Amino acid sequence: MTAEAASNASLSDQDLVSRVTAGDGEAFGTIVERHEDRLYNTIYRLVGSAEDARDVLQDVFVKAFENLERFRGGSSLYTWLFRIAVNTSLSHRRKRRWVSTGTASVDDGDPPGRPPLADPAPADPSDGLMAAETERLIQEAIGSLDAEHRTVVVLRDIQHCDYREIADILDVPPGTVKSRLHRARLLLRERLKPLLAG
Amino acid sequence: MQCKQVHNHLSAYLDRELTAELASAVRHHLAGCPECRAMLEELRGTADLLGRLPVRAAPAGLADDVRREIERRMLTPQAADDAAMPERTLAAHRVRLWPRALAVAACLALAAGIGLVAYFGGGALDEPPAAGPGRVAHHDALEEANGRVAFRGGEEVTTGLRSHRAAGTGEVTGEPLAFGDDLRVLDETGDVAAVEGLDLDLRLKDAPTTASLNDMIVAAGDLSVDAYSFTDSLGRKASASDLASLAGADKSDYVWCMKEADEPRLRYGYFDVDGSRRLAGASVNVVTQNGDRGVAFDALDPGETHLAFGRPAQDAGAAPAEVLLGESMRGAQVAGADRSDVAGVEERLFEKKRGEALSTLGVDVARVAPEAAPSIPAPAEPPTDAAAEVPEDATDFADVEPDETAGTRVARTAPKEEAKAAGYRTAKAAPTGAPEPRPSRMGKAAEAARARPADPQVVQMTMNTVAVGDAPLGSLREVANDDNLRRASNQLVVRSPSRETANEDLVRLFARNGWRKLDESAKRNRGRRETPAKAPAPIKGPAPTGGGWGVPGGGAGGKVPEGLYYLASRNGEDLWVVLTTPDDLSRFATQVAQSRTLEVAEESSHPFQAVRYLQRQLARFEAEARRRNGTVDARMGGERAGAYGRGQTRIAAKGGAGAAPEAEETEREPARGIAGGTQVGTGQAVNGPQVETPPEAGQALAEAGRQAKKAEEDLFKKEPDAAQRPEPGPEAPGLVPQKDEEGEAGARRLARQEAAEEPEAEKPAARPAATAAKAAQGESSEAAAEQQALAQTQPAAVQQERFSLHRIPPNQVMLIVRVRSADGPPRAAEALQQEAETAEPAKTQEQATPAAKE
Repeated sequence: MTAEAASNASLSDQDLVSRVTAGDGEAFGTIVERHEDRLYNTIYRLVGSAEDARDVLQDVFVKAFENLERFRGGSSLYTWLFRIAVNTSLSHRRKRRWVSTGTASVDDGDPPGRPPLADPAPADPSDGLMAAETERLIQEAIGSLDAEHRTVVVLRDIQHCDYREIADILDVPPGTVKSRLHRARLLLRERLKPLLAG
Repeated sequence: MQCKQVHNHLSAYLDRELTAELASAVRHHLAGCPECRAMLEELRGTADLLGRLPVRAAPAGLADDVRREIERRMLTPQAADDAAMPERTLAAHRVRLWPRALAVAACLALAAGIGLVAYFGGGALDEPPAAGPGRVAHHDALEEANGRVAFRGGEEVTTGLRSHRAAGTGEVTGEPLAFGDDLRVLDETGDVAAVEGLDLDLRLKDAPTTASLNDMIVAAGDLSVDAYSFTDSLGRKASASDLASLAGADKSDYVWCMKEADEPRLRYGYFDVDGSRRLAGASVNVVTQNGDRGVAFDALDPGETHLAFGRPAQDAGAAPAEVLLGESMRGAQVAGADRSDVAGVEERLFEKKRGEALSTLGVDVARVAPEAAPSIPAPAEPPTDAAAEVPEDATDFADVEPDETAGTRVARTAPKEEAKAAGYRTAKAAPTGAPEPRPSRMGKAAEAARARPADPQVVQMTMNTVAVGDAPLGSLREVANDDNLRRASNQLVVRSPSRETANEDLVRLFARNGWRKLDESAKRNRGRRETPAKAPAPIKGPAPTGGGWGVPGGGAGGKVPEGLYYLASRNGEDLWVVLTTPDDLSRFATQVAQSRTLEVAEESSHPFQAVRYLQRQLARFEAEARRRNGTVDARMGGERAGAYGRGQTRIAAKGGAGAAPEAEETEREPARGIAGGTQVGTGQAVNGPQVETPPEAGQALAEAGRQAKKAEEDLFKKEPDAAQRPEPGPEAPGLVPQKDEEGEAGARRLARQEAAEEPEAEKPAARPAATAAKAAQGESSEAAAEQQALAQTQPAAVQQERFSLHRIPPNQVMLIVRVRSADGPPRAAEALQQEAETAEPAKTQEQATPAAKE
């Protein structure tokens, strides 16, 4: 890490944005590093594939860079990035013409990189198989939801955003978040019954 | 608090997102309710499952990749475009999608000069924009348009907090649109409430291609290809044009669309048009390739129209039909239901009322015979019981934000009992304690419309054409049955303070167009020719052209009856069936737009929404002129008309300077040039020589006319040469005149040729209006002018002409005009009809009116 990058690391998002718009490219690198993991995880769950998630995330940052000067600070950079990420993910998915019958897959080949942060390393190989299968089932269930429900449930139950944040990201009223989330969970509850029973 | 209410709060309770008071109430309930506790645990378990998913970290080196990509794009800007164009086939695919819808929409936008609403909520879409000549532009191009948006003029563009007004057609360059900005195109008055259609160009960056309306619609269509939702990604709000395009789509388009989507079955989708921008009356009735039927609903939230899909009964044996509705579907009026297919859905819909329950509701869609449909039982349920009957797992919307809670459309426009009379089970009233419908952001006119007394029968339509040329026609009374009414796409609903006045005005307009009354008795005999008891009286007033069909006075210029009308009142509703040519239909629509007594209602079919918009615009112009000058100022009206015509519609209208010498004329009918110039459907000016057409407007007019014509041909499947075909003889299907005259078909053809060769301003339809205008000069009151027009057109005299009909003439389409009024006994129209039938040829309006009142 360069000294400049190190100094950037202590800056707020807003300051980083200012630096980027002033021509400091390194500051954008800091932004990327600061937000890439959370964004990636969200995108991954929305598109269901590591390869796609990487492409989408890269696209998100490129878009963000190109439009950064238009970011007016009305919301947090985090929210703004998430909005772009969600839009891009869903658009990407739409292009892929996924069908709702569940073609989402996980573990379809992570590119070389860091291992999952919280991927539990099971002691028992059979546990590992079970965990992968469970994740696949959950991911499929998420993938079977329509866009609005999938998005809200990922933002809440995976990213743990609060309702207000979700509302900001999706640009919908909090009441809508509430009802969509409830419905999404009801749908998931039905589709994940075997897991819940277990 | 009851279980059903608690259920709806459980997720938020789980997330600690309830208010303290509500959370306390839920907690209290949970303490004594094992069922709700169990549900809470299931929800908690579901959330926990997701929460335990492993967190995926971004791949290493992403930041470097991003940097490289950014550098690459900065160095080679073209690379971005190249990378963004992977889907050539999609463009072609879009072009094929819903050609009819495109044509109709284009017709509306071009010919009616609709202002528009384009709403891209949320953030910019990110599908690759097309650029360059010949490519189909996409509304996503906005993102790449560098803030340059081209308008047809007159609209105001709001980007975020900024707004720009387009002075005229051309490119407006304002502050660049920010990524994620909303784009709203407002009409001239800033009112987006009743704006229909779309007339917005997106000009692509550094590309000569301008995205057209069609592109926009096609782009919107792309949303539908999405197997998941008709909203765009994130469920953001589709624009009104999206609805419009769907409304114009027909079954085959949709089936095709579904196939393309490779979706075995569309399960769910809805349009979420921003609350104040809903396209009134839009509805759609579609069938997917596997037989699922889609029905559009206007939902409780005024901003949402839902599509529900169910499977007809014959398939239900194998797989129970399923109806999935949007979560915010909180009771609604069925907007476009084909009752025979969705009655069961409807029934359950309103029983359940709430979206949450419906989402998992298995519904066997009953196939109900059309005849039995209107008698769908509507249990009397006092509104106060509504809350108690909310299904258990329904969402409680009492605490939904005000923006999301508003009365149902039914609730606003028609009391429950009245809607029931129409055969619908209305949505229950908003649950007790729910907020009142919020004050709409709609314009005052729309508010006023909503405030009108309830419609006794609010029945909207699906977008199937009920009948087109050469279709067999038994009886127009049969045509005007419930089933067909729901199917009719040419349905004009007019409101009037007085039923009587409305009917009189309609008859007057019919007559002005030279339409003749159809003889019911002859019609009942299905083609049996009858001889008129007496020679019909010649038509007085302006000398019509042409002859034929045995119309008395034909030799002296009896007008070819391009239209026939018939009063088919039913169930106390005044309902007129008109058969006429698309051109005449367009002219008629224009006349209605100009009418001061007939207000086009939002329940009208989609094509007439443009008329409605136009009418409101006219009213605004008038109001503004009055406000400024205390009276209607001709120049003002002319200027506005000119500006409007040139800017928004590019269609001929009186320019400001040109209007000045015609002050008197304009005063009588302010801004008349607007309506004349924006004749829906054909784009032809019909007001005669007083309409001065600027060269550029003329070109636009011609273009609009061509497109509109094509649209109509597509819409009505009219053969292009239909007008040139020989008319069917007496033995052939079609109009059977009571009085045969040799060569009448030839005479008719001749008349048509004459009409076609006439300068536009000399067209027969323009003549009555022009003559009336002339006659009205010197008259101080509008009433006198209208009276004069009535006297000239002689509806009573027209009633003397009797025609029988067993097939719709090949080149004609059917229009259904429904009269809505707050007053008047049901027999008003019938009395008028009777009066008209027995009237003396010279009977005037004054004479007819008291009779009708009796």
